[in-house]
Amino acid sequence: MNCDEAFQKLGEYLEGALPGPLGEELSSHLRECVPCADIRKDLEDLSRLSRESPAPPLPDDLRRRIEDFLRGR
Amino acid sequence: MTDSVAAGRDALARALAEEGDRLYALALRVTRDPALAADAVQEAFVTALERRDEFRGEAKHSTWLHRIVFTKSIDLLRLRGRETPLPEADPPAEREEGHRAPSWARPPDEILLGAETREALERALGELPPIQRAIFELREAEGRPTDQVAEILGLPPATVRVYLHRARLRLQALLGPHFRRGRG
Repeated sequence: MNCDEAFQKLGEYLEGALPGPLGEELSSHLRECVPCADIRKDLEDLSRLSRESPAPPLPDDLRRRIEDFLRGR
Repeated sequence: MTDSVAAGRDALARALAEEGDRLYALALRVTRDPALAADAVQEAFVTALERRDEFRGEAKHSTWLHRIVFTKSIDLLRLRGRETPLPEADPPAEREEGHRAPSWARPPDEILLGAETREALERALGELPPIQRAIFELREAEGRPTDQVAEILGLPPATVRVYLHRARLRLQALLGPHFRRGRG
């Protein structure tokens, strides 16, 4: 597997949707290729960052407006 | 008030308590505008009550509401002329060396993983089409399974994977320098 193929398949690989020989080929490529391994680490950091970045909560005034609507007020 | 309306109001009040923050997060991610996101969520609950008879089964209530919020968010974006919400014009993912990141994505030496990187992530997300932002929010931030994301957005799971991959690679290209500096 070359870098372009690895680049295109990395998403499926990280999703666990690349089983079998193709997944093993990509695993092997990532062990040997530093630039592709760096991209994989970047993608893992991206996932971690997005999971750990808190989203703003539903504003209180909006919550109250919807609650009032649902109570039929 | 009929039993059906009362039951619908009760179910939606529970959903608001349990899912309100996540619904708002999705709307905010798609619209990138707190006022539009608030309108999308509020209008979604009005629509949900009107269409309560379409809802089938408690297990999918969250999915159904997320779908309505997503649709409202896209509709509001379209009405305001902010963005073209459909992703067809989205260019194929580029290799990092194939383009130059905007200035905000090129960190000064002192920037490590942290608040600056989170801010850079928010800005980088603005480079994505709304559908990719929605997929990123649901899959990466909320951790929903791909099949559930597909159901919410009304897309085939394979399409969700393709868009998610494009989104990740675009963000990786923009934010890779931040991550690498953070790793030392």
